Amino acid sequence: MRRTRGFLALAASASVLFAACSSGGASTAPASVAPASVAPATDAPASEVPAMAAVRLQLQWVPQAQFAGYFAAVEQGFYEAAGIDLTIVPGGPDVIPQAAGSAADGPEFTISWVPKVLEARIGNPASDLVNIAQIFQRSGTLSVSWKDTAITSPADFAGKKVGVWDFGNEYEVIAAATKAGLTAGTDYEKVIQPFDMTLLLSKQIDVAEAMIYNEYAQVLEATNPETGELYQPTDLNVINYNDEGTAMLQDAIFARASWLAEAGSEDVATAFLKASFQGWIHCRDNPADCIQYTVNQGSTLGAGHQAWMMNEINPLIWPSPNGIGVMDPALWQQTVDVSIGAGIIKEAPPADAYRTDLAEAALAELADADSKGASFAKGTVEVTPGGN
Amino acid sequence: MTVAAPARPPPAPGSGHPGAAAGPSRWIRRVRWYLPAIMVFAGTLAIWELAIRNVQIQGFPLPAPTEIAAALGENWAAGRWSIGKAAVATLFEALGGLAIGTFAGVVLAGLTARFVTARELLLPLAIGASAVPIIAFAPLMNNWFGVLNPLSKMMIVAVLVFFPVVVNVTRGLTQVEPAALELMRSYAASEWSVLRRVRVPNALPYFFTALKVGTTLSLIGAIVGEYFGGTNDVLGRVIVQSASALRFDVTWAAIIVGAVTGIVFYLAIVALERVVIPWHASVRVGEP
Repeated sequence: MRRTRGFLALAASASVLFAACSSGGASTAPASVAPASVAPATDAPASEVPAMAAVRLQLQWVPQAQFAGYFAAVEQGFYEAAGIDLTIVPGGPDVIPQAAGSAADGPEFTISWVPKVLEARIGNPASDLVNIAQIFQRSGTLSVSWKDTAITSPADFAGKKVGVWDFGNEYEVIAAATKAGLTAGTDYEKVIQPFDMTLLLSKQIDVAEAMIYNEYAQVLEATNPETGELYQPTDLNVINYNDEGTAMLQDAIFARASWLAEAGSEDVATAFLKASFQGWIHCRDNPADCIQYTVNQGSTLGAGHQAWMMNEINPLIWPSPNGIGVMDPALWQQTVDVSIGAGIIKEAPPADAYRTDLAEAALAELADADSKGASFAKGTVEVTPGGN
Repeated sequence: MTVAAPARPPPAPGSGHPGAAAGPSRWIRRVRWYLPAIMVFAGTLAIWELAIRNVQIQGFPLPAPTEIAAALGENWAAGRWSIGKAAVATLFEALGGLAIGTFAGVVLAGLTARFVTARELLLPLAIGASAVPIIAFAPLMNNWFGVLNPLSKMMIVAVLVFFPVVVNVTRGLTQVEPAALELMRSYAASEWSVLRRVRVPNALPYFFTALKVGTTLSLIGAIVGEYFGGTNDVLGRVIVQSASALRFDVTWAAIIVGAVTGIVFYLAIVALERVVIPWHASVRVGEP
């Protein structure tokens, strides 16, 4: 008995120690006081100039034109003018943005896809990320196959090797196959692709997942060994999930509910959104600038590829019928329905999983700007060999 | 619990068996041997469970052992991630790779032990192969052997396993007691019977050491290979997919299944070793 008591005492003292640590972490000072790791830009006393709010933005992927609006807001000084001292945290194959952004000391803002966050919200431990601005109004996901395999709709996946990425990028494809009555493993073979198009180019798979703004262009930038010229769009069949009814909302800005509840955080978030929206408006009106800003950020693929990407990203955002960043409830509902249908989540998330008040407050400060882009028309871009 | 120990010299607690005249029974000795390890293991689990349940550790994604066990039960055969099926597929890759790597390693070791030219030509190659970071090999192997072919993962494992086998077996074949060789020579023994009666028996313990290292390496190699794409139902993908869904309980379950598979694999080699070289000291050391 004595031993048991001793053990309990040990466990109890350990608990106290842990509690002390975690409460120290939880009561982080309001966001206007910068965390120690990120120094504020100005050292002036708070009484004179309002301190810059030092915040971090976790990108969904490596720096590329997909995030050009944020790069533009940095280079155009929009963040600085809004009192935001922004540190951009790049993503990549080894980064799970929704996990990084869910950590108590993680970046204040995270770019991720809606279904991934819906899933993370019921994870273990559960994430408290809230969608505060829905930037992309349309999905950029495609399934690409060679013309001769005659795959023109998800129903044609039957008996085929269907390439997808995992990390939650595959849900639209799987949901469309499910909708067509096909089950992975029995009706078709689900193959995990590396993050490039080699499996399709070497014909190891019949159909490949590709983003319209990235990997689709990588195919078109590759040389067809039979003709010695670049592959042409006519060589490919493309399934666009916006047309299949299983499109899900993609790039959105998320913040932790626990962080937003801290005093001053909502103001910081509104200021951040305002500057970010300005950045995206700048990229709509001056795409050439934004391609350069993206290259300045050290994008791995070249300017030619970024030009393609910028040209494809803009139509995913514009027009934004409710103003950039404001959620369209119908698209949210479709994302939720498809997620439930595909077994990603079991029931609809609570209503506070997204909020539009911060984006609307930011837009109110941008009343003079065209934040809807109703007259936006997509441009054209020449494909360059290798994306250079 | 304060009863004084009996005054008799062999104070075996609970040794009611009269047959244990020569000391505590074998069974009790085994329990005594393993008990501290079991207690430390159980204690760690208990502290872990208590800490997670009683303290909210923020931003520290470590589920409690019971949650991991529940996730394992939920996802073993059915559920979103079938860990059981994935473990079998990964073990298949590991086993195949271990077989290929071991075979190639033994062949090369035989050649280098016998022919000086082979040693000079081939050993640098083996060292080179082991020096390449395995993660760099993975996409290449997927490209060469086909990302959907289990052979692509097996070859990654084989490269990992190959080097310890070559080094160990070469040493086993060459570092033979000179007296034994002289004795064989005095019998005018053929090269073949020197190999069979002296060199191979001498190399067997080295071979098994390499194999034991290889078991754990093989699972590492297979899972690393799986990270670069391919079939969906394998442990590496379960780990990636559950982690990106923030289901860290499932992630831990898959990691633990991987580790347990490696341990079982290791124990199987130990058992095989006991059957094949029961005479060797390495088998007897540490036996309870």
